[in-house]
Order: sequence, then C-alpha cells, then structure tokens
Amino acid sequence: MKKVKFDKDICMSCRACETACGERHSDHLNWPDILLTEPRPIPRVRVSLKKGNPYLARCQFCKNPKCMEVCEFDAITQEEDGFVRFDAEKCTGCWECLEACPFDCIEKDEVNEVAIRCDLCEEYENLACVSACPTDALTVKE
Amino acid sequence: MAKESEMKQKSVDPATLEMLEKVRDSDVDATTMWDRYETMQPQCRFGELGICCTICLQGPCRINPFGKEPSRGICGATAYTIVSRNLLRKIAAGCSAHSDHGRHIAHTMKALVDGKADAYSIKDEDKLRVVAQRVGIDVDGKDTMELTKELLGEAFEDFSRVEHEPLTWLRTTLTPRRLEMLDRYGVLPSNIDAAVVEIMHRTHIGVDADPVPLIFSGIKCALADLAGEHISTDLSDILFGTPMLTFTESNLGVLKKESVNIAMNGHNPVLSEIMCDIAEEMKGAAEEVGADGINIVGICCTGNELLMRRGIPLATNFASQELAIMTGVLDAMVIDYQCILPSLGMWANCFHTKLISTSDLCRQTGDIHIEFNPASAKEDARRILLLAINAYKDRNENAIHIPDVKETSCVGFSVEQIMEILSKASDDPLQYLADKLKEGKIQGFAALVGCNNVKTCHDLNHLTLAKEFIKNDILVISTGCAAGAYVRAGLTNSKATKDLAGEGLKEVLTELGEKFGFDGPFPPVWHMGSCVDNSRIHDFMTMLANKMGIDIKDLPVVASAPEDMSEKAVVIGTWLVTTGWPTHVAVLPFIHGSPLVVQIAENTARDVYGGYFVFEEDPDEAARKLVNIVKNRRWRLGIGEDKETIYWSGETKEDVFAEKPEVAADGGEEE
Repeated sequence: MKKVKFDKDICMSCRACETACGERHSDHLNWPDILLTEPRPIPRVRVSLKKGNPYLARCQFCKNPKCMEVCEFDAITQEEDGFVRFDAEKCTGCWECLEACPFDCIEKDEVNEVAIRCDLCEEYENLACVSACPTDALTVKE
Repeated sequence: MAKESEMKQKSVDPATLEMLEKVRDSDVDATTMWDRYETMQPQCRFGELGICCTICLQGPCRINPFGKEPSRGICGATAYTIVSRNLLRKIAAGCSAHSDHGRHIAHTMKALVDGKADAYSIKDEDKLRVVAQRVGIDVDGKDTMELTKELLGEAFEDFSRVEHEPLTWLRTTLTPRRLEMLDRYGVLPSNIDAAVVEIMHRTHIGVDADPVPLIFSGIKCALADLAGEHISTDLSDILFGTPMLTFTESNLGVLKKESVNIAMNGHNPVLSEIMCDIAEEMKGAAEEVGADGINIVGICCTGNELLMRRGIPLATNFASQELAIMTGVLDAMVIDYQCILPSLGMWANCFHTKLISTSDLCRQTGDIHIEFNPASAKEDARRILLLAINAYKDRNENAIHIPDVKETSCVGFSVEQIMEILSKASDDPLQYLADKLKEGKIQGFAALVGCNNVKTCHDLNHLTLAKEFIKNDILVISTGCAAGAYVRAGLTNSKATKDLAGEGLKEVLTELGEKFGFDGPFPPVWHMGSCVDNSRIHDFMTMLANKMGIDIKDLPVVASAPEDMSEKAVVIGTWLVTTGWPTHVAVLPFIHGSPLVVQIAENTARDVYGGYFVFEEDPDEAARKLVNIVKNRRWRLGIGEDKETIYWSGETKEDVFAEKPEVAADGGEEE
C-alpha cells in the first residue's frame, strides 16, 4: 500500500490537493467543466489548520480503524497490507463512521448516501493530491 | 503567519462583542466577517507571499518559496518581478480609489460652477482663497465662482496634464528639499491618471521585469495618490466647510430606538452632506410614521467626514459594519463606495433594513439603487429618506438590541483648527509646537491611520499603539478607521488625556485647553478626518518641518497602519515612506515572497527617501519599536537624550545582539 507523507512546514495551504482530488473523483468532464455539473465532486482530502500549522485531513489507514469498528453493515473492511476498503454497495449512509473517525477524514456523499474517504487513487498510477502539490509537501513512500 | 482562529479574540470593542454574542445566540441567516475568516482558514501562502502571478493567461504561475523548482514563471519572471508587479497593481488600485473620489468632488463642484447643482454652495470661501493662492492662482479682485472655476481647472489639469511638469498638488505641498529630491529620482508624477495607466502598462506581460524601476514607478503612483487625496480634502473643505472642533458621541449606542436611523457608509461626502440638510426638513414625515425624528449616523469614512464637519455620531468602523444592521433599528444603510462589505445585502435581507446604493460604481446584490446626481441632489436625498422612513414601520420589535455603549468624542482637528488652537497659546503657532518638541514636552508625533483587518483582533492594535504613544508623550494624529476606533473607545476626549497621557503631553494639552477656553485639556488623539485626509497629516507635519528648516525625514515622527487591510492602505504607506516617514504595518503586505523587495521596503527606502517600512505583527512589540524610533530621531536631531543605543529600526543594542533561539526542528510527518 502506498503511504503518503505530509510535511506541514512546506505546505502552502493552496488547496491544489483538494481540487485535484475532487477532479479525479468526478464522473464528469474536464476541469473546470466539472464545477458546472451537478453533483459537484467531493474531495477526499481537506486542508485545515492545527495548532497554527497547515494540516491535511486525509485517511490515515489506522491499524485498528475506528470506522470499521462502528460499521454495522460490514461496509468497511481492512486488507492484509493495511488498506481500508469502503464498500459503497453495503454503505447505508448512517454516518456512524464519520462520528467515529478521530481524524475527521470521512466525507458525506449525500446524493448517493454513502460515506467516502481517500481510496489512494486505486485505479490510477499516481495519487492526484501528490501530483498536484507544487512544493512537494505531499510525497509517496512506497 | 495565520493564527489559530479558535483562540483568537475577535474584538476589544464592547459594543462589537455584545453584538457578536447576540449574533451567536440568534438564528439570523447571515455570517459575520469573523465567521467567514474562520471558514477561510488556512489561507493560501502563495497569495500571502505575493508569488502567485495571474497576469497573463499562461498562468497562474507560482514560485516555490523553498528554493526548489519552479523558480521562475512560464514567461521567466522570478519571485521579485512577480512580487513587485503584484504590489504595484495594489498601489494603482489604491491611487485610483482615492483620486477618483477627488475627481467626483471636482465634478460636483463643476456642476455648481455651471449652475447645475443648486443644492451645493461654496461653504468655505477663505479656504478657497488660501488653496487658490497656494496653487499659484492670482486671487485679487476675483469673485467666488470665478476663483472656483480657475481652481477646478488646476485640479482637472492634475488628472490630464500632457507636459512633464510635477502635479500642482505635489509641487505646492511638499517641502522644497523633498520636491527637489523626488525630481532627482524621477518619481514626480505629472498626471494622476497616467501614473495608474503607467503601472498597468509596466506590469503587463513582457514589460518591466526589474524590481527597482518597478518599485520606483509604484512610488510615482503613490505620490499621485497623495495629490489625489489632497485634492479630495481641499475641494471637500471648500464645498462643505473646513472641519472645526465638534463634540459628539460615538459607537453603536448612538442608534436610537425611537428614531428613523440611517447609516451613511462609504467615503464620499457629496451625498451625505445633502442628506443631512434634507433630513431636517423631513422630520415631519418621520413623525407621521410614529418616530420622533431622523437620526443619521456614520460608518467608515463617510462617517468620519460627517463626524468632523457636522458632529454626526459615528456608529462603527469597517469591521463591524454588518453589526449595525443586527441592532434591528437601522432603517436604511446608504452606501457610496469603498470598504462596503458585499455581505450587506445578505444582512439587509434578514432585517427590515433597506440597503440603498447611490453610485453605479458600487452596486450590491439586494440593494435598492438610487443613482445620486448633483443636479437632482435634493430630490435624490428625499427619495432615500422616504425609503428609510417607510422602512421604520416594518421593524420587528423582537429583534431590537442596541448596545448601551457610546463615548464622548471631541473631533475636528483640521490643520486650520490646529493653527487656531496653537495661535491662542503663541503668536507663532508652529514655533510653539517646535519649542515643545525641543523641550521634550511633546516627544514626537505618531500618525495612526488605516483600516480594520480581521486577521488582527478588531481595534486592539489601534488602541495598544495609541495608548503606548500617549503614555510616552507622543501626540497621536489619526484618520480613517483608526480614528474611528479612537472615538469609539473614548480616546478623543479630555478624560483620556487626564487618565492616559504622559506628564509632558498632559501639560501641553492642558495649557492649550486653557488658552483656547476649552473645558479641560485637549484630547491626546487628534481626529483629523477620513482616509483621504491623510493629506492633513501630511500638511501638518510638512508645515512643522518647514518651520524648523528640516525635512520630515528628520522629524521625530512615526506612522502606523496597525490593522492595514485595503489597497488604499498600501498606497498611503508607500507615499508616507517616500515622504520620509518610518511606517509600521502589522498585517504583512503580500511581498515576503521576495527577500529583495522586503529589503527595499525596510532598508533601501531609508537610504533613498529617509522613510522605511517596519513590519511587526505584535502590537506591543510594534509600539516599543516605534517609541524607540521617535527617540532615535530625537537623538539624531540633537534634542533627545542618549540613554541607550537605539537603531533606526527601533531595535536596541540588546535586541540586535541577543542570541536568537534556534527554531526547533519539527518534521511535521504524519503518524
């Protein structure tokens, strides 16, 4: 599983990672057309502030995921390499996992009523957020 | 640079805090500037550093500030070019705002001369003659209208001159030696509009890339701004009267539950003055709807203009303008332009308040637009007043909450008024002031100007600096939203002098008060007007410098915009530095992406012009440095004591040679 490193000291809070993530997880057209189409894409990463420094809210792939613990529908499973999978088919949109996540990394997709969070750009070679970062504050550690 | 928003105290103004609590506990469907600031965190640091270039469509280009690639934009521009270009465009915008304001007053005056504006008259003929004489017009035997026409010709010439001669409003308001120096550096503008156009041209893709000529061009435009501000002040005084001492009250507590409340928000006095005239005659209409009269209050710099000339109470300054609507008793907010929050429409929508825009330059969503025209000024004012009076009937009694907070204010310190005050104490007013400066009764002068910025605690920086200056016998002269903070916090009355001023300053202010027949000492903060009235500050100190045979760069003066926010603050700061003022700003302008540009602002400017920027975010530390700068300048002038070594930057020997704590290495890696 790819591991993403975040360096708060060189993050510029420009949110390029957010927009790139939203763009990649959109079913629609090209940037910026996707912004004109409903529903709008939902980024899985979010830049915020923590103790005065930039902080990237992004799934941490915890060893013992709290989200998995609370899910009553077995929609969240952990694979051998540590990857935590969200199954959109099983998810009912009860938002229990949102409450449980200590890192505030799970987002609501209210149109489809499913919980979403970073999927490590599974179907792609690179991670959208990492590729978009202009200062290499986000890097991949294999 | 961004502070932890949750921990940040929002304001030190009790009325603002009370209203913010009210907003928090209510279900009003509108956000305050503080809410939106929190939502905006963290803010993009490329923008904060000024290294994001969107000038051409190959961009946006962003420079990596950590020394890695990209180090140049696609066109090849480096950080210093991008930072300088971005800064210059701010200067051009600031100059445009002030100067266009001046031009609008000139147009109103022209309508009067042409017999198309019967609502107006020349209220201060003496000033007309003084200004005309100053700009080199022969005044003998000419009647008022003739003279006004000639003066207007000179003013319009400053917006349109073709020859390479310096602006009249600079040539006649700078010290001779400053004028000669600026001419030598080739930064004297000859046409205000052209100075702005030159910047827009110079910063276009593929034009000037060298930061030094770029910044010199910015300085030229900033000087054009000074002229534009000066034209605004002079013409406003001639048209509406030069401000003289006035007593009034300020802060949200001036709103009256029983009256039709109208807030005049913006910058230009052209409409608001007529509104006040007409409000008198519309009292009957207000009584018909059950109110006891019409209560006009001011917000921002239109508020300052009315406060100075008519004693109209000032309700709030920039940051808290939305909260005036939250009181539930504001029947209309009438706006002209500049510093109008685009959220006002959203607020007006939640209440019965009518948001009335009066200039097609400044429309708002949710406004009612009544274009204000000098030719139909009285009629327009009547329509606006009627809207407000009718809105009074729609008030929701349950939504009313007026904070019981107001302070007595003594305002109206135009240069003319100051001279009159000083002349009561001495036949040679400026020599009196120079003597007090030499004796050390007054240690120096601090110009506290500028805006509110939600990145700082509302009004805290203004008050911290002013109190520290007053304590150290430094007289505060103030304009804009800074002055708005002082009137609302009670720093512009005799009590403030008694409670807060240092012994020397107290003695001088008491003596001046006695000689003038004033009830108690004069206030320690002199409210000199709106933000275009920085020209008054410039005039006051230029006169003093001329009297002492020195230049402003030698005077013990400092300037500060402790809560700088607008592009107008950027341009004011630039001309203050160019005319020799050490100028502090607390909110960093977007230039720190280029160490070279910062170096020019902090150091090179001093070598060339004698003024320089001081960047300091902490208000206590800023106050300490600025008081030190005054001491340093006194010492250099040969009138100060040499107790400790202080450098021009306001730092002491201890500061400079102190061991700097090493920044702890902190990986910042995720767990």
